[in-house]
Amino acid sequence: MKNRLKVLRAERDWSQADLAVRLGVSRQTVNAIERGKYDPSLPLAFKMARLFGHAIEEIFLPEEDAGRSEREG
Amino acid sequence: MNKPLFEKALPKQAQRRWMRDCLASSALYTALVFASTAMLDSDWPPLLRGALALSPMLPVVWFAWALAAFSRSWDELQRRVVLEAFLIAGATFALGSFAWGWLTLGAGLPELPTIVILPALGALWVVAVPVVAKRYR
Repeated sequence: MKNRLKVLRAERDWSQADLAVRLGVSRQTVNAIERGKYDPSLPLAFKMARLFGHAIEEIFLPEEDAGRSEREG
Repeated sequence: MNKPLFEKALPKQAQRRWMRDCLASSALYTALVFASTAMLDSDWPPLLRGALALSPMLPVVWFAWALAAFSRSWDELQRRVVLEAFLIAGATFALGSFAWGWLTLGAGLPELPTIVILPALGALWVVAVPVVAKRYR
């Protein structure tokens, strides 16, 4: 699953470690999520959504939606 | 960028407790293995000999309990990696021991002693964790 985590984090000038502390997970977990290697659990996704003030679907995009928006954009 | 999965990720208190329990249970295990092996030669009643032979299990259970307690400090990805690694270790051991069984029957290999199961499974688990973790980097 694709996501906008890196962009949202950069907008706030947070490092991966900063975000990890805020989410209560390891930096490696943040890195794996950002790189699309790991899809977070729903509770963690909600935590991210609350932290960034966005809906979950504004942060995470299913592969087919991500592909479509890349083609359209 | 190949940093360990658990690098600075865990609460220090949980890490300290884990290290303490790990070292203490390992030391006790070593002491009990030597002590019980030395004392098993004596002409004691079977019940006492059984209790003595089982005594190294106490630190093993302590170790397992400490590991379970330590696992509660892991985040969801760390837990997933460790569980996936356990599955791989279990499957590898199951296949390996099954193959060994056939070789015992057909090629005269000695029977696999049951005492090697836990250490072998543990060793395979330890090897599998970094392999699985690499997939998430």
